Amino acid sequence: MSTVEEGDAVTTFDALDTMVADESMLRVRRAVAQLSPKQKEVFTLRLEQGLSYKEIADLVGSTEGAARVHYHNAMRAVKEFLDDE
Amino acid sequence: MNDCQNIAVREVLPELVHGALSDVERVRVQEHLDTCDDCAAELAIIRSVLRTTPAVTVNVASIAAAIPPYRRKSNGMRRVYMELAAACLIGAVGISAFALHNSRGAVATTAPAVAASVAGLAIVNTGELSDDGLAELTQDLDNLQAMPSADPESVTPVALEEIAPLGAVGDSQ
Repeated sequence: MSTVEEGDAVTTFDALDTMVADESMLRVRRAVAQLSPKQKEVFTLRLEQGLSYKEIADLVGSTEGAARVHYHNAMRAVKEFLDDE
Repeated sequence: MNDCQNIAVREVLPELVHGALSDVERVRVQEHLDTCDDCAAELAIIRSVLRTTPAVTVNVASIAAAIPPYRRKSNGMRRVYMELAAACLIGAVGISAFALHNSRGAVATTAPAVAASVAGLAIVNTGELSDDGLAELTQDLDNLQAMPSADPESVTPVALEEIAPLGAVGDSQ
């Protein structure tokens, strides 16, 4: 007869947590995928590379203000996508 | 999920994740995050985006496959250069021949003098001599008189006195 130990409970919790995290990541990935190419480019450079708006503007051939607008529009679109799901 | 009105905090959330904030800024942002669900949710999205980023891997095989095969350069220009070099070489040879032809007159005028100067020298190829000829040549060499000894005459002090001193030449003038 097997007994339930404290370690088993922790393991079950970790697996569930991992599943939730994986699902959350999948949703975020889908949200980013539906962005426009320009939004996705700026969003990715800002978050993944940690570039400033000035650096992004230099890279994509735009202005600092335009890069800021693209980023915030992208973030708003991601939030709306996650809210609608 | 709403947008927080604190733009200053929202603008630096990516820098917070990348650890690019100063200690003072980080504490200020963290204090705001503790009380703002909207910014906390946005920070969670940013962290999820970073987690979903696939690890960067270098696929060497695909890079190698994408490199076009080596193609030897067209030798069109090389052929032109070779033809130019050949033309220059032919020209140089022609000019040299022309100059040599013109200088033969001067050589002809000096040739008799050179011939006369070497007329007294007997150039003998000993390889063509027979044993008798070689013996005769050896005998001739033995019969050659050596240079007579020309010992300098002894100079006496009287003779030195007869020689006018160097200063006397200037004085006599």
